[in-house]
Amino acid sequence: MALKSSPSDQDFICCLDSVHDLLTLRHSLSLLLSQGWMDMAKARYSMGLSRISQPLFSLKPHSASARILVSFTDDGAESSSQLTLVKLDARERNSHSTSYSHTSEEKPGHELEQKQKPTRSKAVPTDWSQDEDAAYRQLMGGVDDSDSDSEASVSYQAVELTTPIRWFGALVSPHLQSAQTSFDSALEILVKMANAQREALDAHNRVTQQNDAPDS
Amino acid sequence: MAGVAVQASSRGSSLIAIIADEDTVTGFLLAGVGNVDLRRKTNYLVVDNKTTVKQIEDSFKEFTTREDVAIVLISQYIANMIRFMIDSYSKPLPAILEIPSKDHPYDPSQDSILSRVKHMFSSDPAGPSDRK
Repeated sequence: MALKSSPSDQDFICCLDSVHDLLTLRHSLSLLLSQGWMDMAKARYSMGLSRISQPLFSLKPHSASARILVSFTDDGAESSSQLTLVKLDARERNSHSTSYSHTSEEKPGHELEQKQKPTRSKAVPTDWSQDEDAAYRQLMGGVDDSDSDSEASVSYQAVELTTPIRWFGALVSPHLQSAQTSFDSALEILVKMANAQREALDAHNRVTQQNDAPDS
Repeated sequence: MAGVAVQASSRGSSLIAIIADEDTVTGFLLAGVGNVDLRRKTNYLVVDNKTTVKQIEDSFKEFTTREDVAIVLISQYIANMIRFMIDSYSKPLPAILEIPSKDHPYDPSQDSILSRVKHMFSSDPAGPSDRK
């Protein structure tokens, strides 16, 4: 005789699985961050304390190259969102920012919205799947959305993209580049953690509601 | 760029905000998280020994109310300074993630989210507010 699990059991198991994923990811994150801090300390030792410090952070307007794409299920509720990390490569950023600034000089105003299909330069990878391409176009403002989204994409492209490692000098220690790699990987882990955390909380809320509901 | 999936509706790209010590913020800025808008407003706060709790509270409030922020990273030792705000935060977005810092290793018993879920498994009726 097959045992059937009740919905509350399934939610409970889902919560346990999400918590397990979360703890595993946390362990990975701790290792990556420790490696990153160690490399940064080595870079400071070789380059000098003042060469890697907060006063060198650029306060010129610039846009983040590591962003989060928030996608919702059909009901559109924030609690059912899925987060995806999207990164722009430095060569892609520079080529695309050049093409957009050229367009804005020629035809300002609402016609800019028409021109926001990203031009495929040599730096853009050509082996993307259809979903990745759609996500990238939306990130660069190429998808026709509501007016407010178009205005937001125009302001986003008006802000320059930058390469943060250049803030610390033209020639930097290889340890600083290793630290950058560690924190890059840590970012990917963090996005997975955010999704696992949301799933655990959702399952926890469902179990709590079922426990609190009066027996019928 | 692997594993990117766009469903029927999406909010567009969002930022990651950080409230952490200088080394952690530097590392994540190197990873490309830093954003400075035209009004010179940043998506990060570097916490040092001169930063007041009020500044941390204001930054947390600002980042969690911004429409363009999807994740807020906060070092756990800084989260402990504003624990009451974090425990009372219940919105799904932006997601709050507590991370370890260089000088303060991560303690799962102090994590706001884990303590909520742990309460579900334990027979102790006390909630997260009773954490020491």
